[in-house]
Amino acid sequence: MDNKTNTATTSSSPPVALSAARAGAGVAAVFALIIAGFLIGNWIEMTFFFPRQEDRLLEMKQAVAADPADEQLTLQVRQMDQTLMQKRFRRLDFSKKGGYLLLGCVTVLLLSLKFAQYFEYRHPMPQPQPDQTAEQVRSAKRARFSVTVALLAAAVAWIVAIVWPLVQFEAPTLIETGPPTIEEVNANWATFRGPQGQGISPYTNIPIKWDAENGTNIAWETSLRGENGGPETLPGFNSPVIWENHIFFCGATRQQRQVYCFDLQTGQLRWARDVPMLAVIDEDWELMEDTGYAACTMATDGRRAYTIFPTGDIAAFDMEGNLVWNKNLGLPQSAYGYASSLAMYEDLVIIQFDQFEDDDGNPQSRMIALDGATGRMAWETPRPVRDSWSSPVVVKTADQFQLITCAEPSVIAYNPADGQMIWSAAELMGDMAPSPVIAGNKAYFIEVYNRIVAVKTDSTGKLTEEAFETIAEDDLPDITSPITDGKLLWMITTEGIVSCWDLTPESVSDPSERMLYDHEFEKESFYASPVLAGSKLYLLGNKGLMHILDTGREYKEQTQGKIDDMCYASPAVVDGTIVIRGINNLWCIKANP
Amino acid sequence: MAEQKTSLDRRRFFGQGLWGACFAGIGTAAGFLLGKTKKPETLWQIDPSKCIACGNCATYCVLEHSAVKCVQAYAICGYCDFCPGYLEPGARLSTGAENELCPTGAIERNFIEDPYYEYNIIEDKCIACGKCVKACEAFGNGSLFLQVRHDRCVNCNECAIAAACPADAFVRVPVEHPYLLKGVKDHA
Ligand code: SF4
Ligand code: SF4
Ligand code: SF4
Repeated sequence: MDNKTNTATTSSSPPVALSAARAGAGVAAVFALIIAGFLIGNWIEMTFFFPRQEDRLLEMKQAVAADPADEQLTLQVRQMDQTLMQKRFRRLDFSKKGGYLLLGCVTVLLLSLKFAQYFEYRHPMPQPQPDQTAEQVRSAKRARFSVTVALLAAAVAWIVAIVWPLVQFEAPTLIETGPPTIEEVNANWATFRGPQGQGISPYTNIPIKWDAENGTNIAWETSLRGENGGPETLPGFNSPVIWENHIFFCGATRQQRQVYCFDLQTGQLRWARDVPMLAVIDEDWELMEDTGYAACTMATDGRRAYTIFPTGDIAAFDMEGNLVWNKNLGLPQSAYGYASSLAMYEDLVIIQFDQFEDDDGNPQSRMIALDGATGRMAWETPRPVRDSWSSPVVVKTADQFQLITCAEPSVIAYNPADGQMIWSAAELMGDMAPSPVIAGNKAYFIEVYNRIVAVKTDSTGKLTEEAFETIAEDDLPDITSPITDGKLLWMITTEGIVSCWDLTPESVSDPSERMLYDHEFEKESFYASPVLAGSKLYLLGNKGLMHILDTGREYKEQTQGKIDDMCYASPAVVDGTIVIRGINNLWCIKANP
Repeated sequence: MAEQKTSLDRRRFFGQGLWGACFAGIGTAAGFLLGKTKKPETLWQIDPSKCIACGNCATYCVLEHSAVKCVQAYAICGYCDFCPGYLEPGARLSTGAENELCPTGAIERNFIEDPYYEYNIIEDKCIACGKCVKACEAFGNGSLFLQVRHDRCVNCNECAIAAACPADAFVRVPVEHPYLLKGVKDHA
């Protein structure tokens, strides 16, 4: 109040200017406060309430999706969507304009205050000294209070500094868990022919005897034909793959494609899902009956299960059956219908997408790797080969992983991480269906109706015909893949001739010198590829009879396992368990179930 | 008089210092805005091959209306009738709000010729939530992707979205190639 009198009496500033400055400051302050209030309200609304309304809208959308006939709800969704959209943009617009307005008001306020201060400034006048003692007591109190507050603040800061590193904040989730380890892959049967696509199980506790007639060692059987409480599944020659408690396979007709997940312990169907068809097929598109609409075996990495169909439709489902992604790679041009199974390398899904040449004779085949989590293309490499039915294998050679493929006319090894060719060898002829196997530093390929050849996996670049070492020329399968324990190699033909070949001699003058035995199973056909577990070789005939042979150098059928079903798919083998997909049933065989 | 003017007491010193700081702040802001007219050497951009469309771009940008927008790569787009980026999965083929995936109606569908439709992004409406990007990547050709739009981005020293990006998708690009476009070999 003193100030006012002094200013009025001693300052030469015009009182009108002072009042105007003060009034300006007041108005600007009030406006700034109001705008700030609205902005805060706007922020609270958008941060806390708006997301809830959005969630509500999403729920309503889901309800409409579940019941599209509900017109009233549909109308409500549309109204709410429009309201929320308008609200969002109104509020965004307001916060932008409000921000500028607030800045303007604050600037006016500061300028007005500065002017007001300038106009009301008065020169200091000597004043009577107030009581010094009272002032000293007050300032001592203030000092003590300030020191206490500062100490308290320091203590809080100190505690926060100590506790902060101990608090576990939720880390931002990347996509999800990374690829499975080699140990996890080996413990499961994640792709066609199990670990590394070689048909070899690391387990030695696999049953060697079963009989469906009296139930010996049959843990369960589930009808795939809709009988006895089992589901009705679509047909398919693809083999089951297993990850922990999940068994996956697929089925399809021309019109429909499905993926199935069964429980390994109970045999119950966990889920069945339709795979959307993105391919456009015309009326004259057809496949050979022997190939069918679901010949390609699925693959899994324990995070998702992947499936591909002869229409070029590929899809990923999570372990709970939610469709994660699906794509179409184009309708593959294949003489009998596309049939290559999927391979996996870490989190890449690998596709041998072989096709015959286009009308101008240009190759259309390619190797494709898709990221398992997103379906995004990781790499793609054109292949100078024709349509094939063989499945790619990812194997560990001496110093690296190689993706080994077999087609006419070339066998090619790639780096599975980037699709770069490591080595290739031509010229092989024929319709390639059996998959490659490896033993030591050699990969073995069947040139149908002609021979089985070996190529060194430590090669690089393009190899000539001399790179092929002929191992055998007789008893060659045209569908099933061979199997080797590193020393001996077995093959089973569709007609039922099993033969065993010695790989130990470095070279022989005549390939027939490698033959140890051959034996014919009469009146049986074989479409399933052999499996090795422990010291036993498992050969599954199409009438459901499993011949279990010793893996010695002489023929010896030790035991048999019998199921009452037609079998075309290769068995899947995990800890103590064999799973067989028959035409009618899914079978689980366990020692002393 | 003259003597009193030159002797600055502590209160006046702090008072005037505060005023000085306020005006300096306004001056700095103005200078900063003016400085923006000067070309920087690098800009923030999203590498679409890394982006997982997590949704952070919508919420972490220092601008309330994110500087990130969805972009359509027409060369890759299949012009699908049922566009998974435009429609909810399993939705009916109708443009009703209940079928649209985009929460802000930022995608426009135009008929081209049977059965092809063109999808355009209305940038002013796009909030960079990435829903369409994720769906197009998973179920379509992956032609929709996110990019920092440089007419909006204030090119923060430390991009707030880059710090929050779980896929390390934010990179610095030279100002001559400000966009990382999908399916186009030479960046625009
Ligand atoms: S869905 Fe999200 S990212 Fe896509 S256009 Fe709409 S607002 Fe933009
Ligand atoms: S640099 Fe700043 S304005 Fe640009 S996108 Fe990042 S946070 Fe947003
Ligand atoms: S924060 Fe990163 S991953 Fe998420 S949408 Fe933005 S760029 Fe993509």
